[in-house]
Amino acid sequence: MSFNDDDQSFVRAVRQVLDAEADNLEAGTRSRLNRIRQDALQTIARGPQARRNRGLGWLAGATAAAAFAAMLYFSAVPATLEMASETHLEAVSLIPLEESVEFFEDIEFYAWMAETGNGQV
Amino acid sequence: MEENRREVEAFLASVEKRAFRMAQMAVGNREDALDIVQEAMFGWVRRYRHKPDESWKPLFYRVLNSRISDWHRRRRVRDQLRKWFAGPDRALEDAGEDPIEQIPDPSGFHPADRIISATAVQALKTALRRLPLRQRQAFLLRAWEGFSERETAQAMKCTQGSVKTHYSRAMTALRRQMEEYLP
Repeated sequence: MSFNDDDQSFVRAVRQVLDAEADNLEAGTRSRLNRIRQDALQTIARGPQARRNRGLGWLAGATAAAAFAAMLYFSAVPATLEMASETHLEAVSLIPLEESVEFFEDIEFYAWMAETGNGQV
Repeated sequence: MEENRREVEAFLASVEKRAFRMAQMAVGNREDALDIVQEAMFGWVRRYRHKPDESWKPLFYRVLNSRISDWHRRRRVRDQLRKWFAGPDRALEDAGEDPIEQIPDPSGFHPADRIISATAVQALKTALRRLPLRQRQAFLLRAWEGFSERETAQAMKCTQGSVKTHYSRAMTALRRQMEEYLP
């Protein structure tokens, strides 16, 4: 390898490797990227409609997260791993994954509470 | 509108390959990397395509890096959920995949091979993947994209001082790991 002590030479060599990597994408990946780009461009034309759909998606996600939180509240968080039931798994499967980042963040908090003593400080 | 669309397409075409490679290095598999590039393109088109041209690239990488961070956050949450609901056995079972092994080697001979041995290339790719996320982002944006510290800070949503620190640490780590290939 042609690296030497000079950082600039090192960076040039790294850039050369990375450029080669980017230029040598397989055909399937190049095709997917092209399709993704075209799909992204389509959103320019259908902007207002897409925004409305996105708003509805967030509403659906928030509703599902609220329903799940209510379910957790009324059924109580399981105190141990053994107590996690099929009911909870079924409830999780109802949540739309793309729309529920906040929901999962909440779940992370619930899981942390369960691990550190069932919410008791 | 049509003029902007052509410019936008040309811009996206100019960044998509590097963006994919950056995402692939960050998440370790092709499908998730493509999803991240897709989310970045959609997000950038929706929010930033009307911004001045000179800010397009930093803003695009800002969205890309956010999506990569989101991916890591979601993975942490998913891992927690699995541990919580399915118990430790399932979590261990799922942890068997080595993301580094998921990156395909380039199949063809390319010009860099003339001066850089295949072993060294592999070592460099591995070293890059081993960098902490923020260090790798700073290094790739500064060294590969040629961003200034200010542009890198904008893309990473941090201060220029943080960029300097991340970049310096990345450079030190990479040079140390590539030491045996230095003359």
